[in-house]
Amino acid sequence: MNFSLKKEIVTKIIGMVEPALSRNSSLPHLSHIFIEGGDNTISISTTDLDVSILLSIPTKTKNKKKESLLVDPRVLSGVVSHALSPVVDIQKKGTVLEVKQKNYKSEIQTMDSDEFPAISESQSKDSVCIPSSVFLLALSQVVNSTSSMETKPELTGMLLHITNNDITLTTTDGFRLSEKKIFQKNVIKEEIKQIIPLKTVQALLRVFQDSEDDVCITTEENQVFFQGRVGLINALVVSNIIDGSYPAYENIIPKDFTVSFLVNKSNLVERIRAGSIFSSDSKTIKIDIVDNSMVISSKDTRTGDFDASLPITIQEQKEGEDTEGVSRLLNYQYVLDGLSNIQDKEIVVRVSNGPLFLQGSSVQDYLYLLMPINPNNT
Amino acid sequence: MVIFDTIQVDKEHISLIGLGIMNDIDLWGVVLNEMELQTSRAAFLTWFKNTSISSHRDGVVSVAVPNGFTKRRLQEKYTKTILKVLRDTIPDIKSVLFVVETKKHSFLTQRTPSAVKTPLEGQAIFEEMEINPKTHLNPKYSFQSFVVGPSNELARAAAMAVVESPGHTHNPLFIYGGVGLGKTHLLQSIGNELFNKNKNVVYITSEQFTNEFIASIQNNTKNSFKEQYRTKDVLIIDDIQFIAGKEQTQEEFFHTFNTLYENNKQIILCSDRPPKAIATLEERLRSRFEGGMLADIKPPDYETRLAILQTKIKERNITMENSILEHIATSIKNNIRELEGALNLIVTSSRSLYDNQITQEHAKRIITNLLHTPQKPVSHKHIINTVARFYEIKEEEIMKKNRRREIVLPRQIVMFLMRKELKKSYPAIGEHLGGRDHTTVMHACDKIEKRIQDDVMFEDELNVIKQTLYST
Repeated sequence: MNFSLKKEIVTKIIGMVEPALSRNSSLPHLSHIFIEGGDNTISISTTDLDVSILLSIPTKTKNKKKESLLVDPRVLSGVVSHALSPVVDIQKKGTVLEVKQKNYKSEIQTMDSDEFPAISESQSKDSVCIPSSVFLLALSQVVNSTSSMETKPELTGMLLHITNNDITLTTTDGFRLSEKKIFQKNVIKEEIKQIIPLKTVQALLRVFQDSEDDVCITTEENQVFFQGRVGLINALVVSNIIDGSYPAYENIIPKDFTVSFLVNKSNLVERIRAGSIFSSDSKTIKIDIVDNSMVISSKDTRTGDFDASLPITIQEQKEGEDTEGVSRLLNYQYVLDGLSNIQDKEIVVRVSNGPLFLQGSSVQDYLYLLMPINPNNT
Repeated sequence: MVIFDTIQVDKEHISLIGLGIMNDIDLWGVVLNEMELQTSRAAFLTWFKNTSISSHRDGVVSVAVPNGFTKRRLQEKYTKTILKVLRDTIPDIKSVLFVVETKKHSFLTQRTPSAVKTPLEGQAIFEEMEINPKTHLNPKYSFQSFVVGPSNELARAAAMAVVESPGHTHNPLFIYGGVGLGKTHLLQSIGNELFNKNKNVVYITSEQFTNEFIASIQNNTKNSFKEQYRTKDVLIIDDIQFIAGKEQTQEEFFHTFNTLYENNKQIILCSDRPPKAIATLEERLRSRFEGGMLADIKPPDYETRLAILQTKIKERNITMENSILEHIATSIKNNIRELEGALNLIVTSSRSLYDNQITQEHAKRIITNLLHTPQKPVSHKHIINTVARFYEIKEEEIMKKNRRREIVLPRQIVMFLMRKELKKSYPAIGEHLGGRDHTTVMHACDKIEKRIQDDVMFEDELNVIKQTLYST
């Protein structure tokens, strides 16, 4: 294996495969990067046995022989980043990887690549392709709402649901829920409904972030494959699915609302951030709808209290309901999480007897539901 | 947690092998033993963890592996060795293959425990999400949370008996009663209890049954539809009255019913009225429903209403003066849903005071508002509409001169209700119903009065109609 690459590309590649590195596995090989070179292609991959990342770049290799090794990513990344000239020469020399340029040389200890599992592409021809920018935006809008409780593993991942007419991404932890719909016609034999681990979602966000191409999704047995081009790099992310049935969450989307109104998003975010100063213990803020305003308040016996209001435009209000004013206690972090997922300047807020409903006022392919906090009367 | 024990292959084992009586666990144990000797500790722990023999038939051994990576690894690197060990142990084995079988707890990598965000005290959850997608049962419905009183004790006793011996005591169990009285709660409680006893349970509404049936015809999946429902241990159908008038669905349901019944599988149904009162229900279905146990649920009496309120506030960790609960129980009499609605309204509107003090005055005000501004006022139009829908006839028929028996009774009931509920005068009622004479109306009211006295089932029917009138 003998080739030359621009140092930025090497750094970028190491960054792209990093999400699948395994920190504490019974197999120390999995904390290393697998590099294979020969026949004008360099392949780099990492895996933690839940998710694998495989990148390949067409590069002029100075010999055709296919050779591979495992190298510590931190060491390689360190050596390459401090090189002064733009191009580095990389060569396998026995059990070391030589990285050099003029007046700069390092021989990095490597491990035998024998123990590293081969990662291969999906055999299936049935795939669904989405423009990367669309897919990644969607992933970023749902990634903060998963659960971290292992007692319900189905909720620790993201539901990926592909039908002939759309692609829906859903995450929830039982207290709040994010759902994004990508309206795109797809030609598939069978509906795809799989739970993808959070780690995989984070890996996808890293791997495909600069892609200007499509990401193509395939499922096979108990794995999902995501393939696409990022510049000259051909990237593949393979992931296990989480076994379990995702709850039928469509039932919880409220259809009946006490009041619906529009409010400026960034102003609301600022008000909530201010209110949160006095919620460091309770993490709670209170919202009240009074006439045509939304009042945000919080208080803490130690630090003090806070009160602010924002003008709102009421769209709909239920007749004869609760004329004393609508009031809710909320976990402010959950509110901020939801608001950060919406891009519109103005948001629609709908208050129901159950969850609070948030959505952009003009782009309505994303919704966020949040359950309030019941006041404790002890 | 011990992953696996290494197994000593001793003389006894070898003689068992000779007899061919070795079981799959021991067989795989031999393989694991050998592989542990041939690979590094790290490789062995990584690739052979959570593997086992899934099946062993006709010389083919199927090895269950936890994920695709392991499958590929074992296939590429270890097939030959594994096969050799297997053949050395049992010469009849010809080949080995690997299948991915994900088990519940197979997360190979040790997850770094992320900062578990414990939810805040009082944080509410999405309740409906607790619904099991296969059985459609919501675990929140249980016998523990079902408040018993004279109005529902018969139904509850029947329900408990069904849980004790499903398929044998009361089959089918047919529960009927007005809106918001707890029928679904009872049905789902039975379902949850039986599900916990590992019975194959499914709960659906007759509307869902109908829709799925129609879809199965369109998609040509009739056989799998039949399979799905005829293989259950317990079939629970809510709002069965909606199956009336749908010939094909009733036909399908009839066959499903028979298959289950003949195999002593439990069927539980509920409706807003007794089988007799479901108009366009096929006779053969009606007789089957009546052939089981019929139990009704009436609107709760004062004591029961109070008990329900007390249970609900306890569940939600709310403190409220008993005098307020008594006021609610006295004022809201129609159904439990309304009772809960009034309670919710009082609780949530009291949140506008930070200290959540629920005062007597505030509660009284809320209730007065609720009682004085009903969401849909009961008008004469509403009565005609409700009765017409109940008996599945057109509203115009009630107004016209039609003397058919199926129309006459509903018309008389409309007159009776207008008199009793709206306190209208006989001539006024006559006017509303297409210019009829006031003596006709008087006669109708008397007839209905008398029938209520003589016929308990009819009285029940009328109560359900009144219930529906006030709840929709």
